[in-house]
Amino acid sequence: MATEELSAATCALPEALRLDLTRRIESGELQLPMLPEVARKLLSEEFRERATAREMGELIHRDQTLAGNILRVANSAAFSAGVPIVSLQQAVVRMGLERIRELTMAVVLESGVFQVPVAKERVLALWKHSAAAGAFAKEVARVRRANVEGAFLCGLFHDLGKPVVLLALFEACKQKREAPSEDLQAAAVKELHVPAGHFLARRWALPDSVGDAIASHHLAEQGEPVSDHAVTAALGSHLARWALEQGDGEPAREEMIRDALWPRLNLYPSDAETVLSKKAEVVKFAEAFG
Amino acid sequence: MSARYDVAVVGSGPAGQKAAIQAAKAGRRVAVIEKQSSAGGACVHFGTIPSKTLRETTLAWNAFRRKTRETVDLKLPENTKVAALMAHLDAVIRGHQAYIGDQLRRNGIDYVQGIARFKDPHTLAVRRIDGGLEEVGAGIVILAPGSRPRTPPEVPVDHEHILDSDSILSLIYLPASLTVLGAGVIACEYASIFAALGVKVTIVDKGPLPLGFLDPEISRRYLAGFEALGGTFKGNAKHEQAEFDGLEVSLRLANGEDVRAEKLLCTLGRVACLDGLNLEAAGLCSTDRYIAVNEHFQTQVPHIYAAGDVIGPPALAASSMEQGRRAACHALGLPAGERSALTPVGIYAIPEVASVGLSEPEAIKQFGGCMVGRARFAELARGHIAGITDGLLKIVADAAGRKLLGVQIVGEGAAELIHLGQMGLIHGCDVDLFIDYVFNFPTLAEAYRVAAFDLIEQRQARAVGSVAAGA
Ligand SMILES: Cc1cc2nc3c(=O)[nH]c(=O)nc-3n(C[C@H](O)[C@H](O)[C@H](O)COP(=O)(O)OP(=O)(O)OC[C@H]3O[C@@H](n4cnc5c(N)ncnc54)[C@H](O)[C@@H]3O)c2cc1C
Ligand SMILES: [Fe+2]
Repeated sequence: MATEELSAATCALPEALRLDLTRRIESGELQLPMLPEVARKLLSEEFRERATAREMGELIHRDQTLAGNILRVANSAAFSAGVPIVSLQQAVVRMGLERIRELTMAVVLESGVFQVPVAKERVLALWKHSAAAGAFAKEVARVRRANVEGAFLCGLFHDLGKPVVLLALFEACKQKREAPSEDLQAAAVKELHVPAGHFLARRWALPDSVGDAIASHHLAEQGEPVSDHAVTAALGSHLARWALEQGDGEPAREEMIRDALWPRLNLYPSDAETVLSKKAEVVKFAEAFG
Repeated sequence: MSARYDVAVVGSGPAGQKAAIQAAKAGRRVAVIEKQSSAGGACVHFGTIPSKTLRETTLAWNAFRRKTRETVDLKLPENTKVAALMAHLDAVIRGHQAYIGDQLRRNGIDYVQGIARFKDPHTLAVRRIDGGLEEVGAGIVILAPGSRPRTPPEVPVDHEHILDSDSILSLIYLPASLTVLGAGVIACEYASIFAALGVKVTIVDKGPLPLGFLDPEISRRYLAGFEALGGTFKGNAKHEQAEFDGLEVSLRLANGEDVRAEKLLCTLGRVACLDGLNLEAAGLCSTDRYIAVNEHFQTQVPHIYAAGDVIGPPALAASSMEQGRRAACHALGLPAGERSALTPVGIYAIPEVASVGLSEPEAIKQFGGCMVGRARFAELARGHIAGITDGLLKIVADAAGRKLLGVQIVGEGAAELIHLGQMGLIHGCDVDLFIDYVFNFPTLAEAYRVAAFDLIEQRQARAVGSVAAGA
């Protein structure tokens, strides 16, 4: 499905286009878009007046645009007083629920709802994948007794570059008045999503571990020696794909348990079982957009 | 795959290591089966070494603050990364692991990574990390699987908002506030370390004092130190339910009170790691909390031994090592030397606490009375120089004020200082020992002399008193 198609590029990206996209990405003018469903929810009176700390927390954890912007603002000079904010929970406690509420409104108004004609299914799939990867990375960290909040961000943002690249590509093609072909989208994403994500992570002052996970999650898949953050993000991503796209079949489940990334984190098949048993919760969390 | 050994040891913590090395030194073929990829056990991965490393940094930080108070105004920024505070932890752990790994290798011990489970009394099935299964057969099996934190259902540990001692050091920022549930050794160590780092810490416990197993005078001293760091102790408090509400962790108490903090650390004791070992297949009882052993650390199945945290208190690194060594000696028919019942206790809180032998209440209970000598670190030159003036050393002697029965210390250096008292106890000395010999000056060890003088003065006063009474 959507996320898989994107990484299975068959054609190469023309050099001129690659330069154009890189320039657009690095101009810093691209706003990570907001899903219409999320914007609607945030703007609804019901939510504005009655959202509890828990609901608010869940929402900002689920949506990479909201999460990224909250961390960006929390880490801005005005708020941070030189102290890095490395988790959303930390940002919420530090800024207070009221400020977070105001901030989410500001993000909705600023970012503009996803207007570009990127296939809606694809965008939603990217967002769900990101949320599920974050939620699974959290479970992986839990069984390892590693930091849960940090692992979540690594999973949530590992493919941050994908929507950014798509946005840049659609912008670039708008001038030519034609939508980019599926192949071209896939090629652009494959080639550029890692540097694009890494660039954005730096601009937003996301924690170093997140930058690391973005930069190295594919290297982790190739068995390269990378940080535990990167392996956790890659594993979160595999788990998300399994849970959201591969149905309930036993062979897929078996294959997931045998994934070569588990031993890299010193996790046993029994640990993998524990993480896989959270599937229903994770899927519920990730599917709850809108 | 199947391999045969003279001795198979389950677990590579302090108990397992020493058992394996002892057996290997006796020329036996030994395998250590360990779940983790490197040796060390709880001591290295989740316990002793990491917590002491954080403590060391905290102390250095506090000492720096103390010494520069007049000139530099330093405050540890809120939200400081714990990981940054433990920057040299990785190096410490790697160093220690390398040392242990090297020791195992040098002694020709096979390291089998996997999770062990009894297949029959002489065979362990080992689940490898890749999912494969391996069998290890052995004439002697020594179980040293250690312990893990006890987490009751009303405290749902998620390692995110509600943590235990395995996950507390995974924090990547210092929370503004922390509730510590429980007031045992691990609880009081972490509570005081985090308080010293500027976190608002509240200890909640069912007992009236923290470190309730100690002499109350010593516990109160710890408490005073903890409060001076900004900590709060809620004693005689029964907890009902802990819950994360989206913003904070609330801990509801039976009296209706709600103790709230950004994070909660659950430290309500430890349980032996027995699940998964399939003890029935070896003919051992699996329903007990710990594995039962005799004085030689032998279970009811003669060729199976157990040592370390898995057999219950005192559950300390040093005693685990000694138990492991003794288990191996007995199993192989080697002399193990005399067994000393005297284990010192060191509590690496801020302030540090240590105890050996009998405390004042214990001596009164056992002998009907005792005499106590005290030395306050404020009376010592070294205490003033080092800025350690809030310490106390207590010598417990028999009712005549002569024979040494025990020593308790609160204050920096306590865990080291206690060994002087231990040596005195082992050799059955009188308290006069500490006066008859010259100590270095200025040192904290002088506290022994000061406390001994205090005792001897009381002894003499009593002698004069009784002469006067007799006259
Ligand atoms: C926070 C903390 C602070 C502490 N501070 C101190 C201190 O200051 N001083 C002190 O003396 N003590 C301290 N302790 C206690 C000390 O760490 C323990 O007493 C000691 O580690 C126990 O040693 P052990 O060999 O019995 O078990 P452990 O050290 O727990 O080792 C057991 C090993 O067995 C492995 N294992 C378990 N089951 C299996 C299986 N089925 N198959 C394969 N492998 C298995 C585990 O992975 C583990 O590595 C502290 C403990 C904690 C948690
Ligand atoms: Fe990717």
